[in-house]
Amino acid sequence: MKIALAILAIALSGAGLTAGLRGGLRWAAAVLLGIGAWSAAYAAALLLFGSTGSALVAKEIALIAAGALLLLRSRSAARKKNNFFFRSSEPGPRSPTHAGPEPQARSAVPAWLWLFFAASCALATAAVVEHTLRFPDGGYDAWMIWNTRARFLVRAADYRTAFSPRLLFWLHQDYPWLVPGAVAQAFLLSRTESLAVPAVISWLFGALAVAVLALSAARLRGPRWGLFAGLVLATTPCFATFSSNQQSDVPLGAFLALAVALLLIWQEAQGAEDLLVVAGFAAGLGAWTKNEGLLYLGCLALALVVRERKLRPAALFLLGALPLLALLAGFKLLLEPANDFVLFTTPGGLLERALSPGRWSELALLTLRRIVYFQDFALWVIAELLLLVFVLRKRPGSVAGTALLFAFAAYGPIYVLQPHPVEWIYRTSVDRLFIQLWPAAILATLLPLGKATAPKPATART
Amino acid sequence: MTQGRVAAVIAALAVIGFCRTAYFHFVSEPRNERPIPGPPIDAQFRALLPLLPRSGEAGYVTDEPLLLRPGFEYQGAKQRFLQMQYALAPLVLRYDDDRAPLVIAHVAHPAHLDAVLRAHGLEAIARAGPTTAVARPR
Repeated sequence: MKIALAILAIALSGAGLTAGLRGGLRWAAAVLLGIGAWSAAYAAALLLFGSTGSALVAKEIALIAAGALLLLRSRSAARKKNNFFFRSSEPGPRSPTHAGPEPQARSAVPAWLWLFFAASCALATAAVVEHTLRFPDGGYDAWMIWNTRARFLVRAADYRTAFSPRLLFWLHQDYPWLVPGAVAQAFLLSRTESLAVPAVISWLFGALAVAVLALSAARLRGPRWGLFAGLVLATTPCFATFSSNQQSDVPLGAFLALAVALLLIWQEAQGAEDLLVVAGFAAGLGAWTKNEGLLYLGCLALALVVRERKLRPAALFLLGALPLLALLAGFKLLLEPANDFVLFTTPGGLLERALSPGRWSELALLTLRRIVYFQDFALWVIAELLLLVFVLRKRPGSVAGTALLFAFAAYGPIYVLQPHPVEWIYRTSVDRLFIQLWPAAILATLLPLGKATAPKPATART
Repeated sequence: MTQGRVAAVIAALAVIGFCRTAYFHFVSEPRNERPIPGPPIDAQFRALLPLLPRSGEAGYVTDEPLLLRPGFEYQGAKQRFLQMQYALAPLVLRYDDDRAPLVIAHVAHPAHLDAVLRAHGLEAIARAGPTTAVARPR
């Protein structure tokens, strides 16, 4: 019964949130948003009512009701063309503003591309299985932070023990808990704490990242570009490893990619403003996944203001993120978990680090060296930089590209000002930041590239 | 730049990434990493479970001080502490608290266990293997 309720809660809340989308992208986005909403609602129920069984059942029912309401309103609004929030977000295929691929892009995809994409996904999955069997508890951070948190949530009589200041700070009690929330609920529903539970959830987020990326690129540029996008992510060497590590970086990457995909569809399909609200919700789930998600959410909102030169799109985007921002604020204010950056920072130290040329130059050198880190990135980062410098720099800017640029720029001062040695924190974190940003960066790169290389329509000679 | 050229470049880069992934997971790791199936962390601490309460707090002492400030290399002592915390959750481990009613002594070298108990004024109640004991203050 509880399992059925949970599946319904995920399915209906996801379907309701994505009622304005069409095609395969809708289903991938629905599963991703549904799982995110399910975990966020779990956290909200715990924060508001504590670990009572009835509160957890009530939140499932609330999610089902909200999802059903969104679906019903979407159907009725489809009949009323001018309804703002719940009309179909994407223009129809005959609409002049249809943001679908050019006719040439929809031409047949070569069989080798399908085969290569399928083989790459199969290899990535095999690598996840191999790595999981070898490291059944996941990567270092998985058992140090994420899965320990899930165990505390399930096992402790009072869920607040998971965030207790009596725990050593290495458990990072201030980290948001979308992934631990999903794992803890799966533990409760399956009545087991099998190591397979977080492993399967981790793989699922990886698969959804590839699906969201490929299907949104296909939606905007045709199946050929969708397969290119999925291929790039699936053959990035560190992607499979991170997907098996059971950490929160791949889920954050998936939410960010979805937010960016929705913004790109909105940007190319002028006027479907409800996509902005859903994009904000996806970015909000990213903020509830990891602290970095809040930075990405801010960067996307700022990029909307900068690129659109009006406040309304950013306001709608933030409206979508509002429930998750409220949850994040509630968590930080109610439980007051300590943050180790704050714990080890003094105003004097901050100024000293900001004015230290050594820290800035060390960061620049480390970044230059990381570009050619073949083990994790193969040659993808070099190719990305060459494309940015020689091809995309001349193209008109997009909200997605601008937001990613802001995020990249923000990490400069963050690395220098944080209180720990630059080399240590850089080495232990930069690949995780890469995998958070990479799916969105692939979209933001390949879509303008697809446009730049689209065959020009033939013109009649007179 | 044409779509054909873009396709060729993406395919070439993808082949390189594909080969790197295949090599790392199916050639290098089997040669250099722990075997399959890898030992789960819980197995290391199974003997400790019946000796401790399911919740509450317990002190934790060891022979190699934990680094209590981020910014340093990988440390075995930190890993041992955090793995035990993961296995024993929701019991909260209090690092270096040797006055708690129950204290876990967990050392890197078996020869150090008795010395650690003595240094902290602890009396062993039970032992869970050569490197771990549950103790109480004398």
